[in-house]
Amino acid sequence: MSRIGVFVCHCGENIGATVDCKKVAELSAGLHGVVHSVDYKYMCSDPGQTMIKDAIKEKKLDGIVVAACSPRMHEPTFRKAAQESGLNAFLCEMANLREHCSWVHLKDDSTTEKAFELIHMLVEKVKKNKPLFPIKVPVTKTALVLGGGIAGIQSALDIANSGHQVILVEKDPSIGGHMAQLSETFPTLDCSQCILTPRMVEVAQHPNIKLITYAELEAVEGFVGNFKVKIRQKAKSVDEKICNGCGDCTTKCPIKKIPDEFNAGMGYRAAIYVPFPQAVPNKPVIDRAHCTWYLKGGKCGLCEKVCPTGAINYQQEDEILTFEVGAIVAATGFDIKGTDFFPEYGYGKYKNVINGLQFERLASASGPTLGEMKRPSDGKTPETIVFIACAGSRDSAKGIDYCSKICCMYTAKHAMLYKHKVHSGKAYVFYMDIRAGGKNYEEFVRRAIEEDDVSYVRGRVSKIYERNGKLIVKGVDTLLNSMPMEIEADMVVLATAVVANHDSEQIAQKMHISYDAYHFFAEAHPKLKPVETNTAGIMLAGACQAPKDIPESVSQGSGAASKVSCLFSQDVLTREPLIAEVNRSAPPLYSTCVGCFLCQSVCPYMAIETEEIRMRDGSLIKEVARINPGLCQGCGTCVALCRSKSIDIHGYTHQQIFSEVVALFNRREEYETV
Amino acid sequence: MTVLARVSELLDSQQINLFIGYTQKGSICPLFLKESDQVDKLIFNEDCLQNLVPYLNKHEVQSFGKIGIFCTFSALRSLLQLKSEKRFSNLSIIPFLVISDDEFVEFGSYEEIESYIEKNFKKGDDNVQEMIDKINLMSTEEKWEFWTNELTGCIKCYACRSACPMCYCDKCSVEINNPQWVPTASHSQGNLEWHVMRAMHLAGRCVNCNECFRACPMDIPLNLLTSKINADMEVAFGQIPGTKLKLDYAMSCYKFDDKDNFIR
Repeated sequence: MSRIGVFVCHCGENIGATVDCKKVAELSAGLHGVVHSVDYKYMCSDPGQTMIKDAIKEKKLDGIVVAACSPRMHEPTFRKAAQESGLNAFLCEMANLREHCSWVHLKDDSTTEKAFELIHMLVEKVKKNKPLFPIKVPVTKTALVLGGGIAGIQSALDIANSGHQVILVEKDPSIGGHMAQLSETFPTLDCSQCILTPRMVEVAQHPNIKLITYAELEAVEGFVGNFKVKIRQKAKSVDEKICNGCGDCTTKCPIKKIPDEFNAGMGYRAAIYVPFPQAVPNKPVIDRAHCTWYLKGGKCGLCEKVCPTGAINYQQEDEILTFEVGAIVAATGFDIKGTDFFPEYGYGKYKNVINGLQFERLASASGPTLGEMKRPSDGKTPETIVFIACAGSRDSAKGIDYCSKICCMYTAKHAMLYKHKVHSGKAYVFYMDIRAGGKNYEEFVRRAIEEDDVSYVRGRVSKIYERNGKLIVKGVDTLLNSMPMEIEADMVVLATAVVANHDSEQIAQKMHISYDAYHFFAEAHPKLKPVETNTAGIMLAGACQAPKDIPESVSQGSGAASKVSCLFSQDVLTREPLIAEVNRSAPPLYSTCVGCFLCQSVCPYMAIETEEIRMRDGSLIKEVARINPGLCQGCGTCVALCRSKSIDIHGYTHQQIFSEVVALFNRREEYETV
Repeated sequence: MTVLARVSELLDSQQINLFIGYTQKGSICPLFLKESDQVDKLIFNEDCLQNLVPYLNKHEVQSFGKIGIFCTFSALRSLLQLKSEKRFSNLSIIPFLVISDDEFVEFGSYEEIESYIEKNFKKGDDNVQEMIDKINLMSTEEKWEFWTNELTGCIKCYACRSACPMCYCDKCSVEINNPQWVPTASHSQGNLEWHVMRAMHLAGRCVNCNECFRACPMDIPLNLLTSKINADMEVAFGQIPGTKLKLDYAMSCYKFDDKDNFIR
């Protein structure tokens, strides 16, 4: 005979205003097996918890149902309260009267009825609950940081400085990311590389950081504290240990007309190259897609001939490196749309229409023009320049509804940089709104407008076309009675939308983390867990989550590092025991599993192993599935797939779910009799 | 050499301990040969349609260890599918595909079966396709009525399950009674739930041998359910069950290029 307690929470007005909590508690008191049922304004408050604890002791309850908010919020609170009064934590269940009932329905009798039904289901479930005990797992105190941009660098340094080992993986030949490409940074106009490169060097020199560049994530297995990651080290074709970084190979390489990724296609590089002079590591790689040796079957070989140390190795192959890590920080960064995304602005066919990143390279002292303002088509100094903000962003017709966040600020910066270099020039900025929320940001924009005489025009540009070597920009000034405007510009800079990396979806799937409709990685909670993902042990840093500027990326990098350090501060992790198990049913220990192992391929955590059942003479009766309790995350996919219903999940057994469903089936009768 | 001579040879030399074939006793029925002296009772003609592979799932049959068996084309597919699902790990099987008395294919390995199926693949029964096309044209209500009518006749004898090569669970989930998810009684709701569950369990695994239909004493066209699901899965995932030795089961394997246009 069960002795169940029901505790109905008003959650202030959240539940109480819509659901008749008192009536629900009275109805619940009449349910079979319920010996105690009360309602209270805030169950999660100290007096509320005390009520629960006292009732468990006084009424000798063997199961409780707290009807309140989502278990995501307060399940730990109530489980702890149960545990403290001697009831196993897993004999406490929560009925979600808030998100599943009061918030989504109007005040009505049927809403109260639904609240009661939710409790009824959980009462029937909790009767079938069994005491469960947390699982303890060890922690590998090494972190993997994916991505060597500023967010990843910050994260890696902070984790390393707190005494833990870090493996930093970067897909490009050098760390630095987009920040290394920037000329100056807002709102201070200090040189981007000048503040970034010391951090890059620190990474390279740090004894706790193992830097792996030109490498990509191949696979992630395991779980928090115990991940096993595979990294594909792409073949650099240069032996890093022997190479002394003299650079002879890059200057002698005959293939020199390859659009340079670091210069956003504004300059050229050779087939063997170091992305930029301050690269870390400063060792070249061979771009096999363009190198003659690979394209023409062993011809050329010039770099090998000039290399003084014999570091060139054309036969080098991709290598799969395996590491055991306890936590992962995803800091894979972002991309921006190219000018070819905009039919109205010429589909990318006008050389003098460039995007923000290309402008950064034009303005940068390390760029293809050495910082001189020269337009791409003919190298002339542009006398009139137009900046277009929100190119793609906030435009549902383009499929990008969100604000790219950084463009208002960098467009102001671009206009200022231009004015500082071309004093006689005229700069226009077309904008929708100026979003300059941030420390010293508004002042920065005002400086561009007031001190540097940048003309801000509130309006959109409908079309750009070429006429006599000029770009005709047709727009509208909405603050001047929507007056149509036509500007003859020498160069146009589009602040194109910040988008997720093209492969972010695959990376998310490899890590088993969720992502949003725009393929940015999803945080566990938009407000309270902005750094964690829904997969324990995997954190986010930087613009892989959403568009972010440098200070935000750095903050989140540090935030992720602190989450990792918290995790690593313990020697043993306790995990919830809500995991799957292949059953052994009556008659004693009979396995109904037939060993089809279809569950093995469906399991996202590789938790399903093979177990042999043998006769006493040692001959094999059958092979059945066994679930590794350390790896299982309790997702339940195997349970759903198993044809013979041989797998059950603790805390959500077939019996428990069945009881809930049956309670709902038979609800009407019960409700009317009570 | 005729196929019968080859079977005798295998039995005599104890390369196999059991041969499963067909014989005629009034109607065509299976014959289990332990010795070669009765080999002349074996027959093979166009009426020998039954898929004999389900017998290989039986523990009693498996105890013979080394077994020869007559296979139709779809039976060969079921053999391959079962192997991919880790069946027959301690069984050596020699399947025969008989074309005429002295023309037959003897398979030495599962790889040979795989390549034979690939080279000689033929789509299932035209009659089945015709029926599926007909049902596809029905409205939802007409489909519901069609299946309610058909399934009302089910007497829950589970002949479909026994005849199916892919139904090899020791305990069928309909017999799991704690809790009893699917009612065992032969009323319309119970019948519907049982057959829908069985069809789902065969999704992407059915080899179109039509044995369920042939075995059904009430002539319920159960093969239409699984054939239709298979056809849909072929369109969605490009997979045909029983054609690959390596398990590639659409219902349990996620791939980056999987279509997700069915999620709405």
